[in-house]
Amino acid sequence: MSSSSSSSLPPCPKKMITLKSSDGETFQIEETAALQSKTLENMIDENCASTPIPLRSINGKILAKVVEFCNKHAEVGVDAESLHAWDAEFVNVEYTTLFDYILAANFLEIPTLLDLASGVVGDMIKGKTPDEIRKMFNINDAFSPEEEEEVRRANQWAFE
Amino acid sequence: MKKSPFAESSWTLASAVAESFPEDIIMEILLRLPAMSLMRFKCVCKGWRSLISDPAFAKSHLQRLRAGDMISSQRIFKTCPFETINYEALDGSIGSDDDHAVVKSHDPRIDASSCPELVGSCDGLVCLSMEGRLALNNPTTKESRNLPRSGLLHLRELLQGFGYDSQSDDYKIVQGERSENGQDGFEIWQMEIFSLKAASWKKTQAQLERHLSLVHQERGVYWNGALHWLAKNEGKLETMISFNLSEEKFEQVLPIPEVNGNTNSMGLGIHGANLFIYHRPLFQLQPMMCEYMKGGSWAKMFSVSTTGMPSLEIPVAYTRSGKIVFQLAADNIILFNPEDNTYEDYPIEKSGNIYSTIYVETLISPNLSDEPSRI
Repeated sequence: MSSSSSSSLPPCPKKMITLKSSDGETFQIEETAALQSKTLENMIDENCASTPIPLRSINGKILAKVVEFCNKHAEVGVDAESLHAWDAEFVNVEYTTLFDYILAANFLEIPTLLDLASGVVGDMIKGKTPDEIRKMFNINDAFSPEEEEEVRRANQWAFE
Repeated sequence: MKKSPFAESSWTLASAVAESFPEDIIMEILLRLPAMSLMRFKCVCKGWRSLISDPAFAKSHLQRLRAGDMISSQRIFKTCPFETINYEALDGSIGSDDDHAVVKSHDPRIDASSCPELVGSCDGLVCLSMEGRLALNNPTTKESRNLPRSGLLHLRELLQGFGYDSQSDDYKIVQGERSENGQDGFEIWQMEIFSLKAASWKKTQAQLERHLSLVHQERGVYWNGALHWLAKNEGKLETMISFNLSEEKFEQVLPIPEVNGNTNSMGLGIHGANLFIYHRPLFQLQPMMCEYMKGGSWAKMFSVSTTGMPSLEIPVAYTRSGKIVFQLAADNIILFNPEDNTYEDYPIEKSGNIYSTIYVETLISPNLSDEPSRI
């Protein structure tokens, strides 16, 4: 090390931005971590991130987790294996919470979180019956009994 | 919306599964499901049925499979009679009562008893040939389509293949016949190409260097936008040729791996997203070698001693636990365990000469059309 230039630089202040949840809680997040969200990135690029950003579709409980996820994935020097383990723990929650993660990740455009949460829901539901799916997703635009019978007959082998 | 702090969890539930649960979120989840689950989920509701039936959804689903290793979605399709085999599920459970690993796959539109030959497999579609008549079948969705006859007769040196052309986003069936000597050391092949989109055949010519000759003419193996065949150069087996489905011409002679004497390169196959080549020793004591294409060169996949096994083994699939599914001659499929050199017969039905191939479980329809999609 020959130069003292690095020590003469002023310490770079961490740029923080503030997010506000639907129920009024505020969260501070480093800009570098926030950049994982394309939605936030665009706001930062357009200088719209100097005041608290209101996120009307995400409540405080979920937003706290999303901030935690972004922070973890912005950490440097985390090896793939331990990040994988951390992710597995992160999504070890009720499916209703996973739905909230997916909605938040979709709104904020965080592909890593969207991928992770959707994948877990996929694994959860792939073996379920249509009835179980309808309950889980609260689906009401079901077929009439006659229609269902017809669709079922056409796809009978998939149930065997 | 009024809510008490005690109702936090039910509020979360309501927010997540409200009627407005956006369709693109549903799509994100469904895109990650196996095709067989999706076939079942067509019955969930009208919205899901129309999403899952959409050709654009089928395409996105396939792209997601391609981005992964594809191996977990790969199955074996065999003819005579048609059956699909989940070879991972069968690994270690042959003989158990509750296995649904081998499923009969009857298609009323294709006469399975006639024991059609297999032309090729690509993106979940298998192409079958029955006395010159061709048909496409998706063993996952059970959709099938009979294709019009072409003009070419089955003559000597006929080659055939089926694959995907990414440039025109179309599936093509190729048939070729050596016709005459051309200029400058080339020979002319008369080619006929069926476009699934156009639903018609067209004729074209392709040039192949005269010193190259196909080893096992008939079926090309589809991989990476081209059909592949093993070929002899000046009568010696040492090369592989391909037919590019976009350019519609023979091209790029890929080198095949060097092996020490006394072996024959026997054939090509597909494992995951990889093309593999297998060599069989001339003497039974030497191992059978199998290598796969990795970044433009070959890497060892497995090397097994097949001493004591009936000859004419064709490796069809390679399981996660390192066992190999071989087709023996034309009437048997076995699971071979290289650890102790034992094998078990697969619980399949056979009513004549069977053909087998790897396919991927997809929703791709053989009735490809240019209809506008809603996605």
